[in-house]
Amino acid sequence: MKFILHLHPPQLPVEACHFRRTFGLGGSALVLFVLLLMTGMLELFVYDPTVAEAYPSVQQLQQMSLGRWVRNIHYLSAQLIVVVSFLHLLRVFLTGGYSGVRRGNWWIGLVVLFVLLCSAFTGYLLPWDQLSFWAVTICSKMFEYVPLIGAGLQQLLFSGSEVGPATLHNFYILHTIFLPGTITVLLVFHFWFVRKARGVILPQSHAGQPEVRSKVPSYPDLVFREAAVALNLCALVLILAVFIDAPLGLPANPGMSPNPVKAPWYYLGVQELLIHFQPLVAIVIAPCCAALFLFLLPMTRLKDHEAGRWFVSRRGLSGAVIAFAIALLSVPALIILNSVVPFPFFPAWIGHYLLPLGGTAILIGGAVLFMRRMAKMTQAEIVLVLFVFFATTVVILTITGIFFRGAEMALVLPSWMAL
Amino acid sequence: MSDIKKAKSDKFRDDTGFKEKCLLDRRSFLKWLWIALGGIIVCELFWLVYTMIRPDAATRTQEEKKILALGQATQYQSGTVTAVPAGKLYLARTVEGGFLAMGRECTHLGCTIYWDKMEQRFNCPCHGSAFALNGGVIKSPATRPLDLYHVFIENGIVKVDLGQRSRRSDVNNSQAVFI
Repeated sequence: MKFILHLHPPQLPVEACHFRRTFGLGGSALVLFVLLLMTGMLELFVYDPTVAEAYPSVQQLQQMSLGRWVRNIHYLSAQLIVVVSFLHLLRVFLTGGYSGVRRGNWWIGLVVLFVLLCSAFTGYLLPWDQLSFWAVTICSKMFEYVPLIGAGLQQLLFSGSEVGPATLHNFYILHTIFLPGTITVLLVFHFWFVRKARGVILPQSHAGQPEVRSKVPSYPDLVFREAAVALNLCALVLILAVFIDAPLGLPANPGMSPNPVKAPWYYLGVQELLIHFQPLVAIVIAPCCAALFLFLLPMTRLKDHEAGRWFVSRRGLSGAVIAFAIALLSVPALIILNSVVPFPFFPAWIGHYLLPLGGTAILIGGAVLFMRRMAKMTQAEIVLVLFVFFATTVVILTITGIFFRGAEMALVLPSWMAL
Repeated sequence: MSDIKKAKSDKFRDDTGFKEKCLLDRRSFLKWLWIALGGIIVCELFWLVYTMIRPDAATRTQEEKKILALGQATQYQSGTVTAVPAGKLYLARTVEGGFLAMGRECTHLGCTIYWDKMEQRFNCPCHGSAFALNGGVIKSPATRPLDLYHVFIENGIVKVDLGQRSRRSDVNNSQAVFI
């Protein structure tokens, strides 16, 4: 009981306990992380990280009485934790919990998300089947497009220019020791900083009035709610794992590529960009810009009455809805247009670099100018609109990559949608 | 003696310009020394990690020295492509009769290409790239021709040096090796 007081204050405002304040997303991610640790440790007893034995050992795991279930839990938790962490990031951003004292914690969260994606990626290779081998191969080749440091980085991370025994060994160590260890350490700071910031962000009660919030004890008011979310989530994952099987294709064959080869689903946004833009734009410039944007977000000036409110303000909400609608209409339209009309009707460097990059810069600049001058929006509102637009774009690109790309990465309707 | 000491300490305390005049006093020198030492330790740590996780140099050079002998040059017809699984490459003989040894990885994202005899081209099953017999791109998304291995002919026998692999930005006739 005392232990919980390390995590929570003895008393806290009523609003901080409401489910709709956080949707329990951070806690859910933690529960999934614990599930991953536990099932991962169990899998280690059976798994053999060598090229010859990796696939047979996973097959053996599948045939053990509860082995398939354990693997399914690990697989499902891994998919869910990526989704939940992304939603957690969205929630924190949309309630303005990223600036001021929470700035440091936003950065830690970004690092955790990055390490989490690395962790998911390194785990993807371990079954050593066709699916994992080729997905990791194409991701490793993406590094070759990075100027100057790309080849060196690829050599280091993948232990050579080809995915082979050394890569499997590297990924195994990273996935089972390095990355989970790093995440654990970072999470300790992540939670501690929440405590230091006095819990989740809350909207200012009433402008001008002194802060009078009715408080409730964290046990049971908060702890019981958390337990409810955690237990429901556990139940959901454990039950789903009975019915949904983690995929296991044919054993990896470096001489035979399947058609098509897709990266792990959380990287399909980048692979989708790669279909439309030059490698340098899709693999280096766009992801770097996105990372920089996320990293610089906490520099936004949030006014006191804006922090803690969903979508900053009413105007922020309408701006966000408009941005969402624009992205929802324009991105699929552009994807379809590009598949009908191929790009190069200009000299290469104009069509490949100047037009997409310059065009995007001008559009964003114009939109920002419009929002500042004409709509008189505050900095926080403008950042919100941009963020919603880009987040929607990323989600659409990823969904397109997952469901609407068939053989040779041509646009197709998924089988469950075809009439 | 004590006067001097007092004067010194007074100077230290009162003369605010003292610190700026003197670039490094003892305290800040030691502070920076600690920071520098810490920085060196971090660098050493990274170096240590790097030496442990980098690809094993010894086994790599061994592999790269391998030279494959692929039999009599005359047995290969002009305008044909032969797969060489042992070297993970394709040996092509151009219509003019020159030999080209090309890596079987697609230059787009590294999938394994196959030779389509009917269409007389290399196809990539993953993302739809296609290459001509000489390795030139005939269908994107790939942007550069297939990588070349060094081919040489000794006593009428075609040999490929697996250690010498090169990228090329365009295709020309001088890349093929003739008997």
